[in-house]
Formats: sequence, structure tokens, C-alpha cells
Amino acid sequence: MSEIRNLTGKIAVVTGATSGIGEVVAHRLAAAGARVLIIARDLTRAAATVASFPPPASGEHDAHLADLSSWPT
Amino acid sequence: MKRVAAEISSREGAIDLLVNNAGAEFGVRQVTPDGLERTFALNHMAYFVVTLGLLDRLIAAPQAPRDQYSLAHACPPQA
Repeated sequence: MSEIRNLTGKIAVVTGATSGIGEVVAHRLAAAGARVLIIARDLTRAAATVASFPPPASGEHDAHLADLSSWPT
Repeated sequence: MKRVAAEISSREGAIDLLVNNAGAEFGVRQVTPDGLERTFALNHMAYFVVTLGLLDRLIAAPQAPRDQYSLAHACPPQA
């Protein structure tokens, strides 16, 4: 698998990042230096997922809660 | 979708990368409070609402931002 270029200082938003492809992609973006914001439904899983990422150079990764099948949230 | 996009927009100046990864297939028909079939709401509408909700912040990125999404919905059912 090819390496992701250096993303230090970049901000990435990943939906559905608590499992599967989304989690792997989000983790790799974090490993490349990006600050990653995930959008997920489950607070416990979202917090655990974010905590598993390599920390960004500045700031913190963040988890936002939303059901993406619902417009208002 | 709208609330979380507004929440992120209020906290971040620019977003460099958006990965519209979330998707699912609900085997049993469900209708959301918005009146949309749930698989359609999540796999089609959410991309637009999230992307448009974050558009100002994506445009604010110093380099052209990237938006990644799935085209799985365009694949015909497997025999």
C-alpha cells in the first residue's frame, strides 16, 4: 500500500470512522500527521477510536456525534 | 447532518480533506423522520448535506481540498 504524503497541519473530516474502511483511513490520515475529525453515531466508540489515533502535531483529534441518515442532526 | 456540519464549521477555519465514507444498507425498509428511505438518506443525501454544510470551510483550505466518496451505490446488484 502506498504511503500517504505528509499531512502535518492539515485537517481531515472522516464520516463513519468507528469501523471498517473509515477507521483505517482515519487512522492512516492521523499517522500521516493530519488532525482528524470523525463523525459517528456512538459516543463511546467514537471516543475510543479517536483515542487510538497517533496524536497530531498541534491541537487534538475530535469526535462529532451525528446520525448521517438524519438531516437535522 | 446539518447540525454537525454547522458545529464543525464553527470550530474550524479550513478543512483540507473530507472523506464521505459513512454508508450502510438497511435490508428492511425504514423511513426517516425527514420522509426519506434510510439507505437513500445515508448513502446519497448525506454526501450532499455534509459537503454543502462544510463547503465554506473546504473552499477556505489553502490547497484544493479533496472530497472522497463511495460509488458502491452505482454498482449493479451481483447475480
